[in-house]
Order: sequence, then structure tokens, then C-alpha cells
Amino acid sequence: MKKTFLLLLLAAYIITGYAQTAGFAPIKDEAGFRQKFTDASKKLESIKADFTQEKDLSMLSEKIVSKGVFFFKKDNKVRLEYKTPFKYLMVINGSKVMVKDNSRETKYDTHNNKIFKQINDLTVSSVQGTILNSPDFKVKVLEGGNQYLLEMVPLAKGLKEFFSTIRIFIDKKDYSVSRIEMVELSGDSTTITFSNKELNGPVDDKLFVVN
Amino acid sequence: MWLISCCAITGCNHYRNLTATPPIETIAFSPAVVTNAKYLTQFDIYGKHLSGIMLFKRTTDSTERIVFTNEMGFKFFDFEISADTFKTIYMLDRMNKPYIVNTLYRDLAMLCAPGSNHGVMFNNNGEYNLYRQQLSKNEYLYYYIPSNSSTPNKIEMGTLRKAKVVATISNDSTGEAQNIDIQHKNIKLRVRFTLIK
Repeated sequence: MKKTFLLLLLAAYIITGYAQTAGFAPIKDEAGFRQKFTDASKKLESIKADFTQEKDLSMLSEKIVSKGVFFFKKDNKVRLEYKTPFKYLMVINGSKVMVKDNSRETKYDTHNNKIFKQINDLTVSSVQGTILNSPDFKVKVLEGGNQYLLEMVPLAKGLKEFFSTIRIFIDKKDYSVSRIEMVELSGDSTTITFSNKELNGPVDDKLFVVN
Repeated sequence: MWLISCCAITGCNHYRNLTATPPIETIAFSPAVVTNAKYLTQFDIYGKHLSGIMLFKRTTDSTERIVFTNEMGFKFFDFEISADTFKTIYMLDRMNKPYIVNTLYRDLAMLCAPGSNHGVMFNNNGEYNLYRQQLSKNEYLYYYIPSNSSTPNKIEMGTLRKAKVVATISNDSTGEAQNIDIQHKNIKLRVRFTLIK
């Protein structure tokens, strides 16, 4: 009986271990992290960074890789500009959104478009540190060597039907987002990795114009 | 008036020259325009616009997997098409309507042609060969293959008299489709593909 219990305990330990992202363990001082993350986010005025996006189609063993530049400016301005292998631009300025693909420019208002509102909320709240208190996610904070990890399970309708988990990796040195992984229910995932980050540098307002 | 009268007499038969020419024989050809490739894809339907990346992957000799996501990785659909079956692996809820799924399936099956590679050959006029495949009782596929190529540069879906869907294809020197433009004549739907290298 005792042996069976120990085996069950060992199995539970192994399963729990595998369920966590490799190299990360639950954070010891979560309150301290939350405070520092919120403080750093409050000081953040702007971000300029390169990004690489990988769409991983698990069943097909195929990846779609694209690259571009990301800009953020307080309070609520985001520019995501894909440069290769295709051109695609998304600009968020408050509640206004502009999307420009290969052949057309389209404008939306996040008040009328749920999907863009959720993209907007997720991006801005990650950068501004308010994601930790978002009612749209159940958030677990983990810690690794150089990064913190926010493991988020969507609770909001529209997100939970699509994503099983969203993982946000945060650099310990400056509390900036270095990677976002969005795992779909099907097992496919989209990973955006940021590099060459410039925090609080000059970022022109013209980049966020939505006429 | 003259035009209307002509149409009334001939029925504006798009394939009248073809039907006047006896078929040569039922012969094997290469109908597939796309097997393994990624395309930047734009749908324009009744004023609505949708763009993204379409991935075609031949998973067996007669099975094609087709996944369409937007540029940011948001998946719209995932289909598996084989010679005699069609499977929806994933379809975004708001797009999951039988007429949308059926139209997508027919357009995409026309391009990747996982089914028969035999057709009746017509009009070997020196410029191109035309192969006709029967889809159902009143529906046919017409593949136009230039004499100096092994891949189609135009595909039509229609009846014995008129084309309902026309796909125009620009191939490079290796026969790989660089641009594909599908236009529907009965509904306001246009789908354009540009190869991603």
C-alpha cells in the first residue's frame, strides 16, 4: 500500500514536472515580482524591437516564419510591421486599428471588433504590466535562470475557444517581454520572439497614425 | 440585338469549338498546379476582404493538407483533400457554413488535384493541350496545358457549355505556379495567390 502510494506520488511529481516549461519553477517571491514588474512597466515609455514570428503547425511538422519590427508607445500605441517574407502592417492607436496587407488597407474600431480588442488588450496589458490582474486569464508566475514566465490560461470567451495557454517570457534584467507563445487547442502554436530591444528611445508618433 | 440573337442560337457556348473537335483520347496528364508550397492569399467576397498565408502540403501520393492562417498566425481553416474524401480538420466557427466550406473545397481541389490524373484530350492546336475531366453529371474541369509545359496555365470549372470558375496561373520556367487568380462568374468571389519563397 505504502509502495503504491509512493509510486503514485512519484508519477504525480513527474507529470507536474513535465507540464511545466523546462527550466522554469514556481516563483518564490511572487508579490515581489508583481511589484517590480508593475514598477518597471510604469517607467516604460516606448519600445522598438525586431521580432521573429514562427507559426508551428504541429501535425504537419511545418513552420511559417516571418520577421519584422515592433513599436510601442505609451499609453496605447502599437505598430507591428512584417517585412519578410511578406509585407503586412497592423497599427493600433487607442481604439483605432489599421491593417494593411498586400492589396488593401482596412480600418477598424476595437469597440466594434472583438478580435482586435482582444489583440489590443493582450499586447498593451503585457507591456504595461496590467496583464497580471487581468480577469481574462488565470496567471501562474514561474522563474528560470534569466527570465520570468507568465503562464496564462484564457478565461475570456473568444480566447479560451482558441488558445489553451499563452506564455509570456520576461527578461529579468529589465522586465521587458522577450517572447510570447500562443498555444492553440489543436497543439499548433505561434511564437513571437523579440530581439534588439530599445526601451524608452525616441519613437515617432507618425508611426501610429490611423487616418 | 444581333448579339442577343447569336447568343440565343449558339447558347453562348464557351466550349463550342471544343465540342466540334473530336476528343483524341483519354490520357494521363499532370493536373496539379500546387502540391507543396506557401502562398500569400487574398479572398475578396461580396466586398469583404481576407488575407493570409496558405500552406499546401502533399502528405501522401493522393492526399493534400491545406492550412490557411492570417499573417499574425491566427488559423482560419485546415483541410485534408484526397482523391475521394474531404475532411475539415479545423474551421473557424464563423466561417463554418456548408456553402463556404464547399466552395473552398472545390476551388482548392481544382488546384492541388489529388484525384484522377486522366482526362479527355482536345484541341491539340500546337499552342496547348486541353484536358477535360468529368466531376459530376453536369460538371467538368478543363485544364489548359501549353505545349511547352507540363503544368496548366488555366483551369476552368463549368458545364459542357460555359465556365463558372476560371483560374489563371503564371508559372515560372520550372513550372512552379508564381501567381494564381481564381475568379467566380456566378458569385462575387475572387481568390489570389502569390508564391512565398
